[in-house]
Amino acid sequence: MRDKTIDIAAYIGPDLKSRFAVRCLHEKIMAENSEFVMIDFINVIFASRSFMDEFYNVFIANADMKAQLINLSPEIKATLDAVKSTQRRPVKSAKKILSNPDMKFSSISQVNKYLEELSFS
Amino acid sequence: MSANISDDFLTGLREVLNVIDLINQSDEEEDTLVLQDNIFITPLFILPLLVYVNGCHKRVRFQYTHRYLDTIGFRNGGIRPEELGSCAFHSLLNQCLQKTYIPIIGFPTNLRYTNERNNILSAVGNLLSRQAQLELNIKTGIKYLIEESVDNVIEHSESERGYIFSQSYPTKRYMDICIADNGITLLGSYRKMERNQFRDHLAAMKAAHSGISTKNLADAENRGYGIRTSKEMLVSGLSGSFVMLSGNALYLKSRTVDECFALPDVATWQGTIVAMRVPYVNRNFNYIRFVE
Repeated sequence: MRDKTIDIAAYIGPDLKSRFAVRCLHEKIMAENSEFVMIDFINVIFASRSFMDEFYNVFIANADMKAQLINLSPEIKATLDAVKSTQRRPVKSAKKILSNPDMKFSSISQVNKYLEELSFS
Repeated sequence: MSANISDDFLTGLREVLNVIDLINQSDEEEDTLVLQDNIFITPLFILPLLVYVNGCHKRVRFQYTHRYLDTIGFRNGGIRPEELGSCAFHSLLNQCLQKTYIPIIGFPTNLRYTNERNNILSAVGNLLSRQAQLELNIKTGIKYLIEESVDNVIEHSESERGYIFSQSYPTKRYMDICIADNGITLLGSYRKMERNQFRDHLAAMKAAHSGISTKNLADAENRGYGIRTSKEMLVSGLSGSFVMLSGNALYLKSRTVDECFALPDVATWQGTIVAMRVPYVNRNFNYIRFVE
């Protein structure tokens, strides 16, 4: 077992995107049998919310993984904080569904007439 | 068909619906669609058409001499970067540097192409940015919008391939981006959930726009933010417009409209399509304000 520092941008690229990329990174780290991993965000330009959500669950909330994050830009930190704040948000018994009344069109000419008159801008 | 598509974002969609109407009125086993040279092709016309025809109950062939359609790779159903090879693909994109479009790119969704797909999408994002000479704040916002949509394709659609196509309109200072798949639709994705309560495409569309995710953790609501954040970022942050089609459900959101409705059954897509009109001039925009 070893400790390891990972330049995440070197592994994935400067744009961190897709949940799959997190899983691939996790597999790589597990294969190297590291007990503690320091993940360096130094060259990261962008991270999608999806990436950070997966990252949080795989690397931070995962009890089997000891990870420390360094050099997070304010934007990446803000995305991580946003993700964190939703992790323990309890499931509501009845989440509010869009309540617009159901509109159903019976013909394409009807739809097109409606769309044409819609002030969509 | 020869209609001229105007500045109205929804014109392309109305044209596709007309085509679908024609296809369904025909009794032939195979239809030939003749696209005339004077037709103005937008992302919200061409990708919904491609996805509809791919999933259509009958064979539809295209006949055209329109050069633009070949330029954007329509004839082969989009460019397949992993088949082209990295060098050829990047060289193709480089040829578009002075253009205003990104060709239709059919990116693979399979896990084994994760790195290739990320490279493809980074190249697309960079090209969009260079074509339209985007400021960094807008570039990052567009990256976010594309990534969240693409991630939904990868995570939920079960489609072998996703599609992305973009056209910029420099004099108008906006670009249209369309991302689509030939997958199981939102409804198909909800049907895989335990205790699914959504029975039709419209209900599934409403659920998706209410932030109900098919893949939450057991005791949390950690997912389902992608669509909501994206449309708020686009509409409130960038004054853009958002269109989503899945099955026969259509969702529209702009500064003036927030509506969801069911199209006639004939207009049922075997897949999901997101189209965004993105104005790209707003110095005060900061994507992080919209990430929740």
